[in-house]
Amino acid sequence: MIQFARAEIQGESFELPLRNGKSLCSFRNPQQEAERWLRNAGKLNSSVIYVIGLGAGFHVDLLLQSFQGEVRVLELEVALIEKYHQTHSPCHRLTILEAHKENATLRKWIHSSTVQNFPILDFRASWVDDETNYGELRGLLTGRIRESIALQKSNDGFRCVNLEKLPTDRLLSAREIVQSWTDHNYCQEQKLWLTLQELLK
Amino acid sequence: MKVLALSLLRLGDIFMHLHVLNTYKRHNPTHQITLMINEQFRHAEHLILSLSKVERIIYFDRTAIQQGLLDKNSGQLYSYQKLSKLTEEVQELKIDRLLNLTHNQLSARLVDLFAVGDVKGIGYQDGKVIGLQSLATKYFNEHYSEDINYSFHYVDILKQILELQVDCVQTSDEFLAKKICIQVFSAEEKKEHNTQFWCDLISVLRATGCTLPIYVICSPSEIERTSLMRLQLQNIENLHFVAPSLNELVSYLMESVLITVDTSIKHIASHLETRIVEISLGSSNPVKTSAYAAGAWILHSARSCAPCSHSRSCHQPEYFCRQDLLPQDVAITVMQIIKEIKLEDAKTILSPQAQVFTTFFDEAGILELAAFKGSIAEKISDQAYLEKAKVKVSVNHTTPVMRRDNESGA
Repeated sequence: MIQFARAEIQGESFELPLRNGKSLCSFRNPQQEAERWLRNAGKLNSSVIYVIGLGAGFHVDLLLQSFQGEVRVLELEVALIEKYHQTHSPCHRLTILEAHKENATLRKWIHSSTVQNFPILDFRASWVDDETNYGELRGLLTGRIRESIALQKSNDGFRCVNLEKLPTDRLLSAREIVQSWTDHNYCQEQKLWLTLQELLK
Repeated sequence: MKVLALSLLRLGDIFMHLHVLNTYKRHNPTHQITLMINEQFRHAEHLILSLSKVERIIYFDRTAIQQGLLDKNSGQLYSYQKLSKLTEEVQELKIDRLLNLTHNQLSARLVDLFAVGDVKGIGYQDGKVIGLQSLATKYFNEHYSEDINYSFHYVDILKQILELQVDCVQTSDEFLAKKICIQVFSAEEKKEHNTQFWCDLISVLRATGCTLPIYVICSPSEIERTSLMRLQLQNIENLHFVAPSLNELVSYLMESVLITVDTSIKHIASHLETRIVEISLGSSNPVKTSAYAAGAWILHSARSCAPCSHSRSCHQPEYFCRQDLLPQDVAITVMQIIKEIKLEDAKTILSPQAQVFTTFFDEAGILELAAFKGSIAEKISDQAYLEKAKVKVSVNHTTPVMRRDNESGA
């Protein structure tokens, strides 16, 4: 349950979000919290950056100022997305997505982030009381959980995977992909994975 | 015919592989050779092309691919996609023949992936091992993954695997040294000697009348490590400490005597007008991976533990192999190369424990070590090798035992 509470910060008035009564960003100094978050993000030399968690959006604003590429935010709460759009002008480099698995755009994002190495930044302050679902979004984006692989089963790289044999309790490694195969037919996909596996020994 | 050669080991190995490829090209002058090396050695491209008959180089980005696999924040198919693109790149080249010079599991899997019909060396074909039929391959497979005595140079075995008629280039007596280069550092501590040794060596060279300019060579990251040497040798004239790039290195090595520990520089020098004096310490194996050149000199320890295992650290309380190699013996070896001492005299004034070998190509074109002073244990002839290999073939090995590591030991 998302609510908003008014806060006076350095003479300015903001409506800041709470989930089940717990704040989704710093109420004392959200700007400073965002600056610290961005400092810890390290080097961002990529054309696209994913952010998991919108919160009040201070960190997204700061990211858009310091990074010239495309920012893709995944958020589970519609209320937060609506509030952000009400209080901000549109930016062509920013997409905020309601990250439900049926969403066609999310599927596209999952596919492109699984084959690329785009930075994925967590804004954990905004995950409060829903950590599992937000955390799962990272696994979905990287193709490292069974659910993500199931969504991409027909794509090159996952065709030989036997979903039933994949563990569900952890992020998956290349070795677990190979171990899931039922048929060893030495198609190009299997040859690629077997080659990659040699780099793990 | 388009040929792809896989050289996916370290820098020194690449320069040893160039000897194989240059021989291949001499026997197959119309073949166009593409070489695949690790991305981390891209900076060596110009040098590789200038020292070889390779037409082009393509890169295997091992580091990025490996990181993509190990980093759980990376896309699961990132490494897969990178390797897939590389495979497409290779397939677009329409390669007719693949030479696997790397001989490890990774390269064998790449052979399967690239799906080239004609493969020399080991590989997989639809999951099944290929290329282990020849005696040379079996010999290589059995010997080069273990720390045992070797009878042949790594390059000669690879030439046998590729069924190349060997041709040897003997050294000329006309060599006139214009400078001395010294490479003191190695990637492995146990292959190095201490600072005092190098300071004594340079002092002895000057004291015995060597007036040639001396260049102590190191990489830019190693220049700090020479500070103590610089301090101790500040009164030595015409002594320079330099950190050249790989491309600049050639101008230093040309017409020089190179005194070196076991590093890639000796393998680069083996392609040039350079006389090499190798200080063979620790796991450095003079039979297997000395500079592939006739007329090189090797000073090696007589200790029973030398050469030691490539993968394990020294088990002795201290590096005894260093104690056997005296600076004056290295200086005497250098002085006879630059003709300041007669060869016959050099032998008599070397210290009693000195083990000094020189390299030459025998009638069969195989690189051999001759004992100038000391002895070479268990050096066997070509005929003996064939007999030995035949015995081994009849005994076992229906199952391949390919190397899993990524080093030749060079």
